[in-house]
Amino acid sequence: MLKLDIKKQFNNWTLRVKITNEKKRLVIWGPSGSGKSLTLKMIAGLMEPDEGEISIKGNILYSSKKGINLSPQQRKIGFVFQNYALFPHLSVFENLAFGLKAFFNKNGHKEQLKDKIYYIAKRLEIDQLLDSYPKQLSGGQQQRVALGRVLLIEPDLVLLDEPFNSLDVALRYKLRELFVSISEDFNLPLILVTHDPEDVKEIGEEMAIIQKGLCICARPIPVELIKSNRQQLQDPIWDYIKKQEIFLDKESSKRYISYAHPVETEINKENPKRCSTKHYIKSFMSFQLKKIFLTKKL
Amino acid sequence: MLSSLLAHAPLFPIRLSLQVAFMATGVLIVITIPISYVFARYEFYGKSFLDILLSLPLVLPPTVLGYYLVCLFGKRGVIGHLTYKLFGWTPMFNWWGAVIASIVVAFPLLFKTATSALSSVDLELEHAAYTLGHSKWSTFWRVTLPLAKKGILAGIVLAFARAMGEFGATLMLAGNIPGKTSTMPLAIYNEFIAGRLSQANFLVVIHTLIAITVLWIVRDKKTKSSHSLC
Repeated sequence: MLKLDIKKQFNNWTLRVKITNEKKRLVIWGPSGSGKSLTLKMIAGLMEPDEGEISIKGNILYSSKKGINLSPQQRKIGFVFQNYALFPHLSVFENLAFGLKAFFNKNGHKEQLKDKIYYIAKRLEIDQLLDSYPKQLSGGQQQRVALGRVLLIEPDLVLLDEPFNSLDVALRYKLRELFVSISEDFNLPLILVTHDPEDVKEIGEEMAIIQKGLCICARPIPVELIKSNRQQLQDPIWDYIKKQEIFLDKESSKRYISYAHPVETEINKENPKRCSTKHYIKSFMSFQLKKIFLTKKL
Repeated sequence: MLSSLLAHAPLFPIRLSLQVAFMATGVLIVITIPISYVFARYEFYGKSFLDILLSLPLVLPPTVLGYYLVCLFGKRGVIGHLTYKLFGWTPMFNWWGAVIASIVVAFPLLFKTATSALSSVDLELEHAAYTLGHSKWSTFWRVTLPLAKKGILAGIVLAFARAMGEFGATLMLAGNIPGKTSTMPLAIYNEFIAGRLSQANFLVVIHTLIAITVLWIVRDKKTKSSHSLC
């Protein structure tokens, strides 16, 4: 589906992300300031990487080697921004219609487009709000308008930047379910960026961890994580995500990365265990294990 | 009574001032908004220096500006020399001189307010428009400009008022020729010096009324647009 291999130098740090995913819903998890949102911006074409390649379903969107860099308008990628980015001067209906170029043409089939907008609005339960303005909506309603606006352009991929950040817990559950069902119904690939472990569990089919600008692993989420409840879960990745305060120190991070790249960032469909982060993540949690890991590696 | 008052009223300066102010404001809108957009959205080498240069008319005395303008547009000036050679014309001592003086003096007022209004528009909204398939041009017209409208409008009104009241630079470039380049502020000065106080009073009242009307128009628009958003 998505093939991502990008590098970008900022003032005093480098963003280096390499992910190849196969399934429909990828969750990129990482603490704040790790470079997740920047990665999304580069996928959408809102920021240019220094080098690398981005492709979706074999279509190259960016390639420094081939000199390709499609504009955001050409990429057909929907972007749901963290603060929703609804246009405050336009009504909900106008916001939804904003991506339908034909709507602005005199000869566009307006009636047909209107039906399409009403259908999506009904599906997202915002059909009663079409005449309202974004300021009058609650956070959850704004979120659904932002999603509806993106769905109407029939994108190849939808990017979601911390979509549930400013919502209360009950609403998060409801919206997570909605996002998953929309993704299934419309056969729509999603990439969701979050620092909330629940999002990984509830939405993701595959996950990637970005920390301090580096993608340290990417792999399918084990079925147990999705189906079973947390107590029964043996997978250490979950523990790791829960303890998000744990950061790698620079030295171990370097070794870890050299070990993790490039094999561990390629999701191995046949043998997911092979890319399990189990061993080396544990090694960072205990000094003893780290020593063993390093000896093994050497 | 009224007709006899109007018969003696100095109507020419009023007409000239309005003509100059409208023309100057029109030109300013066309040239300043693109410059403001570039300043609000892009970083480039020498930006701070250019910003200082463009804001200079705010702090320089109008006579100094007028002096510079004469150096530029006079017969021996860089631009004036060229226009004189090509068309046998310079903007000196005609109403175009007053327009140029007003443009230069009022420029920073629109430039500053428009730049701050445009940069206050959330960049993410423009990004959202790009990902929804809109070009930069379309995004500017449909998102950036409508959202910066209030600030830009305030800037336009300030610039208009400043252009109406321009005195020093106009005097230097266009001169003070009654019936030709004497705009309202210059005419008020002439009438006052000549002791024709009733004429001066008339112009002063007219100037004040125009200023109040302009501010009233903007106030009304502001409340309307804030209503529609709530």
